[in-house]
Amino acid sequence: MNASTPTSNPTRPDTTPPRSGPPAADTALTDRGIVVLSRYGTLLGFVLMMIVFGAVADSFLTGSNIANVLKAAAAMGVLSIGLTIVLTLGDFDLSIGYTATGAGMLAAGTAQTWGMLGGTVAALLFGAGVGVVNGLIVTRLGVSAFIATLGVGQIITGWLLAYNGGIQVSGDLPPDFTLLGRGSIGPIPLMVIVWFAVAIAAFLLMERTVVGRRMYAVGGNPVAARLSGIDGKRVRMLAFVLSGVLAGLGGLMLASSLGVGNPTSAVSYLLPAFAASFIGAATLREGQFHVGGTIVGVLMLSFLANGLVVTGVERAWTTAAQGIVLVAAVTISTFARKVAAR
Amino acid sequence: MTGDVWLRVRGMAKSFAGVPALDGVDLDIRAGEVHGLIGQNGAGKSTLIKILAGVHRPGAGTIEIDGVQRTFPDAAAATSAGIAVLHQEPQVVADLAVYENIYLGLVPPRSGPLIRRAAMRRTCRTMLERLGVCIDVDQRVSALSAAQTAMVGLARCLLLGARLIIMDEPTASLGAHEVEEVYRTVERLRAEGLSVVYVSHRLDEIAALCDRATVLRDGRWVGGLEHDELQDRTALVRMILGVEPSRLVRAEDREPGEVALAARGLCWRNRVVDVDLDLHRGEVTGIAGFVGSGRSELAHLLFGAARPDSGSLEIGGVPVRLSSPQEGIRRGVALLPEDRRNQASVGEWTVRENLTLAALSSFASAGFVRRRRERERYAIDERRLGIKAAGAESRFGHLSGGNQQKVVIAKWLATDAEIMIFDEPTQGVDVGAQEEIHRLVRDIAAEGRAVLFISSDLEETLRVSDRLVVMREGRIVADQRARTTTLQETLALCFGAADPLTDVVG
Repeated sequence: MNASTPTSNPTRPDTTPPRSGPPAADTALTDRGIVVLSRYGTLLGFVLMMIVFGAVADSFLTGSNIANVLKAAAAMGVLSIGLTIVLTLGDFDLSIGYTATGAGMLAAGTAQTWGMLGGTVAALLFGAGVGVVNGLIVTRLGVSAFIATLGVGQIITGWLLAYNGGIQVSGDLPPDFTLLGRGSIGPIPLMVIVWFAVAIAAFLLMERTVVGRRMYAVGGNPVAARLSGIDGKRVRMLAFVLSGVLAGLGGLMLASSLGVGNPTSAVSYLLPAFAASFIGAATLREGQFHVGGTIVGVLMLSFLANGLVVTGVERAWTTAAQGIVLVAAVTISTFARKVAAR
Repeated sequence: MTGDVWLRVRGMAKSFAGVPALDGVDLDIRAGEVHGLIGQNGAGKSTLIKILAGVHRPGAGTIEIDGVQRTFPDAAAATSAGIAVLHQEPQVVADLAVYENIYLGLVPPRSGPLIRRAAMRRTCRTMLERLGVCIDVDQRVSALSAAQTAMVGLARCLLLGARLIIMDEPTASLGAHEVEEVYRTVERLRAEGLSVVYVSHRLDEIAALCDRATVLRDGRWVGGLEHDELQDRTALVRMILGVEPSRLVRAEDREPGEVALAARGLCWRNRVVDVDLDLHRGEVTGIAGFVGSGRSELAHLLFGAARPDSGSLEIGGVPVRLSSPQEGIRRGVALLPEDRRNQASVGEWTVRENLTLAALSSFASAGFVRRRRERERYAIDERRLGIKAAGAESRFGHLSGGNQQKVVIAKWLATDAEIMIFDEPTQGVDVGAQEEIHRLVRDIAAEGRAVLFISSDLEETLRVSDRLVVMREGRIVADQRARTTTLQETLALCFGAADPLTDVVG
């Protein structure tokens, strides 16, 4: 038997220097610069964009142009707020565009018989109902929100084809059907007032109330939230319902401004709403979806498109420009978060 | 039967973020020997295994194989040098067949671009025969028992051409008859001239199976033992612990108050087996036991984070069924989970927001959170618990481990809990803050709450607790006053030594 059992125990002082203390001053300064850029870069870009377009095109910074841009953005803005709430919880809602479209159709169809009040109630109930279905599929059946809301969106699309034979609902609409979409208080369109009112309410809900705090908790760390006594299923359910209701409201606003129920009107809102939310997540907070940021995102995308058009750029390019802004904003934010985390 | 030294490790050292995990460890493995690797949690076993497997790069030290110095830049290098690891958690794809799992990630035999499945099957059958087990290679792994799954892992090690197989707690999740199967296989591997490094917390297994063993403690080599020496359980436990047997001197031992929580016959998925436990007001009850002994699972059952399969629970004399953490909290139970970062906090949040999360309603009026109330509460807790942070609005994730834990304690104090469960509260906390947390735990009990204290650090558990419960394999195997017990006794109970009182306390 080889007697090679180790018998010595050489103790070696640990020579690794402790990792503590601030990094070298100059890197700290650049790092901080990048963090500042990540938080305020979007806002800075927005302000710069407004100044440049304003300097190039005289008609850009006029009251009527601004009011028109805001009005055109309002319905999508309302959808984005609902989406932001769902995204805050780490979920998805791909059904909002279809929900809004369906709500607009239903609002017009119902208003023909029951008046504008009936149409409004129908649109909001429809949105809430879709939210409940989404929420139930996700929280009770455990299907991923991505698939669940995609499927529900498809179902609504199918139903829209059947509803009214797939053609738009017009005629026999009460005169006040277009009040919401076309009316204004002084120079401010009603659409914009509704949008901002929703934004303020959603901001207060998310930032100031117990419910909002719980939503952020579930989105921030679902395990910790559960072990802190938060019913994640209920919170997520509520987020889907809010998203549905706001999609319904957005659809109603759109139908009212169009003066008809159109079977494809808001379908194309889905991607801009996502883009606005993600730009928002790169604004003021590091990688956190929040209502204020989303509003900035919507404003950014809307004024960008409008600015390009009034400065004479072909409309086709505006969508590409929006894509560039989205990728740039999220890239800067992602990069800055990596810097902040290291 | 054993031959020359095949693997020679000298002066192995490794630090993580300045904290040494291994410090000058030597290890000799001979051809054809079964070599035990023993130590408490945190002794450095895992780090050593990972260095040998090429997962970690050594900070210092050398590895020689057959007299030739080797370095392992990655896991593939270790594999090609003849070292294979059988992990505690089986590394298999449950929906693939046995032979596919054995070949997972390896280049299968081919003719041109086509895989020759028949050849794969044939090779796998040979490997399984060498292990002396009979498993259908076409069966899905999901249909296999835990022991059979381990055999699939071993067959893979053979296919890799391993000369040394490191088995990391291979029997941890096996029943008694399955353990026998693993024993037989290890014997066959030895007979073939292969070496085995056998890591286990079960000292009787080590004593029965191993030709020799190496004991690690606090990252250092503390002893190499021959087969005969392994039979002396007392000496072995002493070596693992590194202290002479002594009764711990305790500052105080309070009379326990009334029963705050009573569990009877709690069972959960074989992880918690028929547990009876009373928690008294004013008393710290410590749970000793290794990771996987069912400690955390029991904590989750008492809090409502898991539902027992059977058994009953009384809180304050009232029978309750806790089906969710909300209910646990409503009944006055608090759980400080073992993983502070992933289970107890939102790292990007402020200290203030983390502090009030479990009792949010009490900081709100009409549904709105009153930030001023939150800040006032923080100011009180900052003083009371000695939290060192740059104010209520500093980011939780930026605090040191000890201060994070204090915020989590404050969070649960805010719920007015009467029963507080601490699961590994001092993990990742520096020594000074550990002392403070111990004091806080004692104070919290002194104020009339019932406290359950869970820790892998036995010495700490004994020091903090009035009463000590030992868990092993889901069962409570001892329940006694902490002051009348010793580290040795407790450790022997954790390891499952046959009769601790006569066996260990000399």
